[in-house]
Amino acid sequence: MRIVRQRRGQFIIIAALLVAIMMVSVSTIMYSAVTYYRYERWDEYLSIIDNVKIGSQRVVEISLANYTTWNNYNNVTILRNNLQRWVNDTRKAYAGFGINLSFTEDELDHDWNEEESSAAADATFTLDITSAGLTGYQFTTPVLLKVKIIEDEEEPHERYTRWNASDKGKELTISLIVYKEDSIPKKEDSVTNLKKDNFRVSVNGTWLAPENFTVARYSDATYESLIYDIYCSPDTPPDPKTFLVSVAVIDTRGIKVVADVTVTVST
Amino acid sequence: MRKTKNRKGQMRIIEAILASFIVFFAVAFINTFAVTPSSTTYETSELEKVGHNVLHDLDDQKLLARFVYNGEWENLTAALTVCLPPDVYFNLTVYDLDGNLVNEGKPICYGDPNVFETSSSIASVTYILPGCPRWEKAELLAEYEPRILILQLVRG
Repeated sequence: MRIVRQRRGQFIIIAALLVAIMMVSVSTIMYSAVTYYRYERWDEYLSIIDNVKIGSQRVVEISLANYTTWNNYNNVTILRNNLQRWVNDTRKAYAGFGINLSFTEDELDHDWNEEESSAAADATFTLDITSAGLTGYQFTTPVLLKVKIIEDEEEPHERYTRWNASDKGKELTISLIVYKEDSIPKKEDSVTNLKKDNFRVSVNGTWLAPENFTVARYSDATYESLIYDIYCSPDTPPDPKTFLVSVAVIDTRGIKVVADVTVTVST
Repeated sequence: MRKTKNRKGQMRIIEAILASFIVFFAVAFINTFAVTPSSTTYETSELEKVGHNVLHDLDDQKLLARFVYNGEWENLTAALTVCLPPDVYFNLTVYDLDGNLVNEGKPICYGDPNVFETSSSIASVTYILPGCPRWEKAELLAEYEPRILILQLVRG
């Protein structure tokens, strides 16, 4: 039998086969590359990050609440101490994940007894999860409570702090706005969920019993926020006929701010 | 000028190209239908995701800390029962940092307890709470006192 051999196309065939092998190999490698991270526990890592973030925010809030509510002003290390404990405890709670949380304390301060008073704390955190290869995830935890008493100079606004201005008789009306800031990235959000229990009122150095004042809320277009009106009927003071009014606000996070205003008795 | 044409190898080239295309498309086709096998080691189960989400949502609404630090175990049980699917049984235990059980004698669970002993796949979720400001005898307590929550979930 005679075998007819045609050798001229062989190299091209070999080249085509090589190209085919390369294409299959490259596609396999590409597939492996794009699906490599699919099998990591991403959902669990995200949950841990969420838990650490919300917990860090709470630690800053608790520290500020403790600092303000107990008049703990000399204890300036309370935030740092609590954050250090939180860092250690997250490592314990998530042992095996390689959690490494670090922080810098940015602020812990209060500015009280003004018409616009506030208390604030802030810290910046850096989170590493070594088991996931995550490093340098930064977040901040701003916490602020601000009370602004609206003065009578601010007429002709409808609501302001004043004496004898209501139709209920001789009454002292204190109008104020409460602002807060927390993890939600919105500057100085107006606080709308305060009730009477969240307020304490002092007139000329005497704290009023809860039954001696009332609180009402109004939405105000001028300020674009909710205004709290506090009504009370203190005795008219002797000359000089002025009231030194202090309003303490304790919000749902436990943070306290005391704002002062002087009201002149109008005749 | 005379051109020498050798057409005998051309069919082979076309065959080779066609063969390579067939191989390539076969691999691509198989990949589209390939089902990745689940691994209990590397893949977070659906139950763990649900558990994390429920705890995170309750914490975000500031309910979880209130229930835990005020000892409102019935409310916590009710909240978890409402938030989790009805066919999911749960058992929540609360510990302090020293490992002491905080809700001793007050089980926070739903479903048949035997399921947790017999089931081979129990999802476990760990969650840490740093503290919660609360009023006690007209005094506001705002202390750092962490609690570690371990939520076990299983399909009934």
